[in-house]
Amino acid sequence: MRHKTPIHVLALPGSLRRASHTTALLRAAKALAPAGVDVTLYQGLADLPPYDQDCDVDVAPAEVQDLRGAIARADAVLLSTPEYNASIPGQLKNALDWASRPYPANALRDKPVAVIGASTGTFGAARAQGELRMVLSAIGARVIDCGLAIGRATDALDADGRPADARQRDRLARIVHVLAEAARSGPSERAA
Amino acid sequence: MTGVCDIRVLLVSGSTRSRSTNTAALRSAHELLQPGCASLHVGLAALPAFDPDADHPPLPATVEALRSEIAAADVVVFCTPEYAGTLPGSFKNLLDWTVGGAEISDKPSTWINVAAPGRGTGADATLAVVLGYVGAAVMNTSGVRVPVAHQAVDASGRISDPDTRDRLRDAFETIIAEVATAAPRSLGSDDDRRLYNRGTAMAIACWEHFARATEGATVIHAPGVAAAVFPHAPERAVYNNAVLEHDLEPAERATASPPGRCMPADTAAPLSQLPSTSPTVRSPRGARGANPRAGRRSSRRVPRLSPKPPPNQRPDRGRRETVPSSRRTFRGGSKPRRSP
Repeated sequence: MRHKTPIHVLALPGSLRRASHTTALLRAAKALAPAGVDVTLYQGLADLPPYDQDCDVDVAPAEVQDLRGAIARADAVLLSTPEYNASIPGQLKNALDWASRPYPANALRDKPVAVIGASTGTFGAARAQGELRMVLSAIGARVIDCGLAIGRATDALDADGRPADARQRDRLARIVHVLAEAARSGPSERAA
Repeated sequence: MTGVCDIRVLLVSGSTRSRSTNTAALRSAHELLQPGCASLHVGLAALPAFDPDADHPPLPATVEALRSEIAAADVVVFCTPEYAGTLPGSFKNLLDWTVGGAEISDKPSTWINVAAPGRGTGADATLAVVLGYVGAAVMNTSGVRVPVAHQAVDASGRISDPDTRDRLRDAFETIIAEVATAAPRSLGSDDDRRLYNRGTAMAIACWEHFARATEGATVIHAPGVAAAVFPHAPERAVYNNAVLEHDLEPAERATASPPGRCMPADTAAPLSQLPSTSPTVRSPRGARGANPRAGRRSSRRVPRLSPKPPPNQRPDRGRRETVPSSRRTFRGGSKPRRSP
């Protein structure tokens, strides 16, 4: 079955910084999205409480319901992460800890997701991206096998937060396209 | 037991659950350790989400408390569950808050793992990487297994099972013994002289390596001085350099002079391109006290790295464009800088 258009992509940033490079990448993804794909930025990361299994009862905290609802309503999720201490930012992982429950029937189950990232260092948050893909697979999401690592982000992004390099810009547009196509193509083999 | 603590232990659980097996293990360890010499960090759930924009004074009180507790401890012992193959986000958030302070730097740090056999290895792996990255002195005993079943936790959130308590006691005795016998380095700090010696030794080793692959190049060891001489462009503009030799007394240092001139500052490649594994040379005049993090970076990284670049990155004269600018960074007296 073909998915109805438009495709809704939830853009989930991993940084709380005001001038975040990773959030800028998500805005760029929105600007580069093809017709029929809208990208919505999730803005509730700072408000999520620390995951606590004792509190993860029938009625989750309002911020958590908001996150789970936003994921459930989206056809696909695009995560953009910085790297803190060679790993995923704690608060982004905390958001995924909430989103992963209840397991296995969570909001991310079989949801197409892609991971991109940026850092001011050399490697563009490549380690955090790899760890995130592993986590998302463990949670049960359909992880799209393409990424984008923007190193030296201070110079690599233009004034509008878009990758200054045309190839990187094309790659970002391509990732949004592939993600939308994955959402259109319907359920994965596992769910079929 | 005397009233003086031999070793002060900070116990940090990675779980927010009240009946957590991780917290139960640490609560029980708290009872088994020398009275008054162990404390359990209880602020995990109260920490705000880490935001680099907010990592400056005045810090949230919960962050101040965490850093003070780490500063006051001789060893930090973590115990964390594993969520989705890695650390719980809230616990990683706690670790993210440590990096902005110097307290965790070179602090003996370790963890026990209470997961069932074969489980929890993802948490082990991430914790090892992250603790190493924030500069903690990760101990040899890290990751000791003390499996704690949920049924072993009693209503007070402690471990009642005697066998498990015995294993826990053994684990902590091993940890305490390692801290007690550790080399002073892990309990103290490097002085400027040791930092300088390590930095210069690494820089000289790098020059020697590059010189072997470069036509006409050599490293001269004159009394009190080591000098890299690269006669031809483009290396001439980048690698020519000299440093004062190791272990000079002030009088020797004053009279030693390089056999060649030092490279003008304006010919250097931007230090902002320094990769995290590059050696750096630190000025002996640079006071560690003024910026404790500057010295810490170099002291931690220098001994680890290999001076040998991959074959395709060697400064081969015929393939000059393959010389990564990030390797053109050796300048005596330079303070290590990192990209913002």
